[in-house]
Amino acid sequence: MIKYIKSLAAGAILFSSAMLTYANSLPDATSIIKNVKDREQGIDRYSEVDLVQTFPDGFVRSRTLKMFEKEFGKERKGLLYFTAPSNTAGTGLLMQSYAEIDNKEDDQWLYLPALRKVKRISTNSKEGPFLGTDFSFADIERMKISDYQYEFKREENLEGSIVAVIEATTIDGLENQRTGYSRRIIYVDQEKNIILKDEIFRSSRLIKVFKVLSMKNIDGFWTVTEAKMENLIDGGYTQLIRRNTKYNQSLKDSLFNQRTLRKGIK
Amino acid sequence: MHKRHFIYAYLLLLLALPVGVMAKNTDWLVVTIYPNQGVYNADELSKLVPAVDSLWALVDKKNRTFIRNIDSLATENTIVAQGDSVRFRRLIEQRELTDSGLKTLKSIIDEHPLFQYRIAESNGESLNIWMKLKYEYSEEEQQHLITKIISALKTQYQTCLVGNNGALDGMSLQSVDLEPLASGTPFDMFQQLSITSSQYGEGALQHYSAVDILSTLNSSMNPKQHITSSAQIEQLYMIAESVRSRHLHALASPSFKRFRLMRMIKNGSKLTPLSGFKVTQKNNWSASKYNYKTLECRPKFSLTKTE
Repeated sequence: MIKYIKSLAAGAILFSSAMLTYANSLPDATSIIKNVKDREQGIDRYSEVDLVQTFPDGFVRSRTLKMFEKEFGKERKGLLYFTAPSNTAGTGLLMQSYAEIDNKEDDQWLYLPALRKVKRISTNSKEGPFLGTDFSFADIERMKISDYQYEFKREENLEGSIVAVIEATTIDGLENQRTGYSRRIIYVDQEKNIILKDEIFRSSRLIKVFKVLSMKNIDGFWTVTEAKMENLIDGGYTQLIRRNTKYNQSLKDSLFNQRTLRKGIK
Repeated sequence: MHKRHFIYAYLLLLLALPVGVMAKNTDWLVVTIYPNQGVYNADELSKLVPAVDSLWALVDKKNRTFIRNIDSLATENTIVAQGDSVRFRRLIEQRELTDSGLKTLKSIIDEHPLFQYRIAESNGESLNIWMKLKYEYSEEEQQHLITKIISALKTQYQTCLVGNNGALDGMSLQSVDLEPLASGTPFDMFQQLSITSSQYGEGALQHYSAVDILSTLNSSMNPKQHITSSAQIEQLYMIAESVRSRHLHALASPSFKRFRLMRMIKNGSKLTPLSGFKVTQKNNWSASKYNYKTLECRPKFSLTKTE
């Protein structure tokens, strides 16, 4: 009997040490996501962006904007400036995101030319659709690692790319107050540190699917040139098409202030 | 008349009829909750969020999730003005569940054209959870689904009694879908929509259209100025989409070619003639034992109301 218990105990030790080795050999999901967040993108960058939205009834709406971004140490500033269609041209959005460690809400200022006013947008909830598209404000903002906890699920081939499949969940299983999402299945190309696909859940419902449709190496930086967000609740989808991307253009700091927002960009 | 000609004439007549102007029953299931400590209470509102969240996962007999949208205190967002800032917020935010935050919340609900009455009664005694269904169901199937919903809610509201009579008895939530009779600028459309919405809202407890969303937004962002141009309308529309695209797109399509008016009115009220638009669809929801239940949680009712 004692011999039996001894061999059972030895078996249990062997099993748990094997499990531990297996767990240790799994890639660290949080590190993979951190690498995505801290991906090298130069000091600054500029793009022209088309947001092409197809509504469930087939109506297609297109908006064009110029997008400027610059790193300021651990902070990042971004300026979006709408150029078409004419009725929304001149609308601008200035965004400032802070280091995650500062635990500070991002700042946003909006300029509507018809009102001739800059308004600070204050919110900790970024779940609203970004200017009516199928992307939310949280989707276009810099990601926050602390929004979720991450678990590596597997490695797989996604349309020719080897990706790490990571499950991101909120600690309490409820919607994250900032993003409005409770769970995500994220497909990361670890070579390029780019999310190629993202299945987004609210409660138990798959509500949106993000997919990268094309990417290019521009000036040595991997750049998503076309992506699509599909809305599974309301139907329809939005394509984000990025053109004329340029990196390290020595963008002036003064570009990222409210005065530029008000005056507009030539 | 030759028989074939008669059939053609009949088909032409059918095509010429305004499509869909017969009232269609709208597929909402609604639960009214009478919280023990009233609606505007931190504990009650904290309890409401997970309760409503749990409803999304419910499935029908075919094992499909069946709720498309939920309109409630726990699911809606709004914009509030704070000096030079505007704040996008959820109606229920944990950090706002203070005495002053609850007062602010009540005034947002009571004053907002989309929320007042429909989401919560102004006396603060009851709140409504409106659930739009994904699929068409028979009345019996709807009754089965609302029973499931009540069971799910009971995990948070264990001691509450289930009933059929509540704040929405004898009321209808109605809507009309409209197309403009003539083309015009967005500003022309919204001016006409404002007139037509007032006609539709005559005698109603609550009525609203896309005009109300844009006007409310304008008064938050630009309190001293009225809307005077198409550019203003399109820019406000773009911002309003960021908070309530689902409501906004239903009330005014992004093409500005389809509109919807909503009203909450006593059963049996007639539709007054509407000007400037062609009615393409009428929708009606009235409380019945198939689509409406109440949860009575107030202690004074615990011995008198039961099902």
